[in-house]
Amino acid sequence: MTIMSIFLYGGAVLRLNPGIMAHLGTKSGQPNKAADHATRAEAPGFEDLLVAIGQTRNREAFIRVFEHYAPRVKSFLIKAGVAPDQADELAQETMLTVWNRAATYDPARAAAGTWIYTIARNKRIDALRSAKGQNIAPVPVDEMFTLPAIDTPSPHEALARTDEQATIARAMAALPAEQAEALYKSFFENKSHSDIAQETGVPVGTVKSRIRLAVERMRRFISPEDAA
Amino acid sequence: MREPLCPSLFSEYASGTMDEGLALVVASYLSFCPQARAQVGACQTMGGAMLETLCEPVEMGAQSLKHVLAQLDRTADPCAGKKAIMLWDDIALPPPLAALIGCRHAKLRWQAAGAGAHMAILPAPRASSHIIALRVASGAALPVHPHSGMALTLVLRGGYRDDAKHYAAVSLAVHEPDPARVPIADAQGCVCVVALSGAEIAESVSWTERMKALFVRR
Repeated sequence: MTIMSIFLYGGAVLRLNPGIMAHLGTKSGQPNKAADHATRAEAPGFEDLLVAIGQTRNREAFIRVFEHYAPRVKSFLIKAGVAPDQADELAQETMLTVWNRAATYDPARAAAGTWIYTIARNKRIDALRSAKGQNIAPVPVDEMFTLPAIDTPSPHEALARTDEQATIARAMAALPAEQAEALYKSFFENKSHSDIAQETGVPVGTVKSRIRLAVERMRRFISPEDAA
Repeated sequence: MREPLCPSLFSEYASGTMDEGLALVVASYLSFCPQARAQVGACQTMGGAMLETLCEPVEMGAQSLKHVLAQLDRTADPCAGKKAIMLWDDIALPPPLAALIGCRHAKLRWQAAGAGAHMAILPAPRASSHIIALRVASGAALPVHPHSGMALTLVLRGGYRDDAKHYAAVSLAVHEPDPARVPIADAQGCVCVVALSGAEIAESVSWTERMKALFVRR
């Protein structure tokens, strides 16, 4: 199943990414520790770097965030069907927005990757709008898709936030193939639930229930107290 | 009372693949419902985890970083001015819908839609979706219209009953196409916004004709 292998490959990227380790200043002489915290190593630091950008307009911090995320955002956009040249431009725009909005980033609400994902997703929607030649001025994507910052996370939630993405990444790797496939197509190939149904030859209801099951599995990891 | 909703609705919204008319109503609902925000937050976290784990880095162009650094000190992107737009009486349009009106410089034009019911068509983001505001008097029928996709109704005041189900403020109702629906407003009436997907109406047709085509009174 290709999707599962993609997920497994994702795991391998997490384990083997020496560039990231170097980036985060992880000592290369501690392989066991690095392996234990392989998934964690992806996240720590970037939240702090975003805060530094927001508070002090720190360019060094921005460059580190750029070097880690811009190539991933570009990859995400290409998977979503954006041409490579345009993906590069949109990844640049994403990073500019990261710089401009860093003051609004709250590490208690979202891991760095989650926050940057939402910015990249919005850029993709914007790009799709212009590609479709929409001739009316739509509601700005940010107004439509950015969650209002009105919830105050509990201290427990805030503490859990940093590890959340890594935990979810592990949980995703354990998803049944058809659930993983539905999620992947929805988030990464820019397919609506009905498009996915057509493509995989199953009813829309089945696509929805696969995604529902997957989301519920994920939610269990995000907020265990809500799972029941 | 809030209807439990399918998380797949929120994942479609969070992944940005939902029809924009529907997404606007979901976005409006989110400003009222913390549980729904948590659902969307969970989906976005999945997106973030996928970005970290599934996106094998693709090298950026040689000049890309330089190009971005050169632009860092340009002025930040202008924020859309926030102004309250009243839907009816003292009910403000939720911000995403207000933005829809604001950026099109349109005004709400209420018109009669059957006994006890008024409607205003909001400028829809796509020709294939429509957003309609309804205010319906006590006990009157909510106008229903043919559509092939999904109808999302966000109740802002009062409520309505649709067969056995009751939808109160502030709830979001998901309706699949069903020509037999006869939703009836509560005793205190009902003010709501409805997004419809799959209702294809030619742009050249006049407002009145579009209204007639959209709404079939039963």
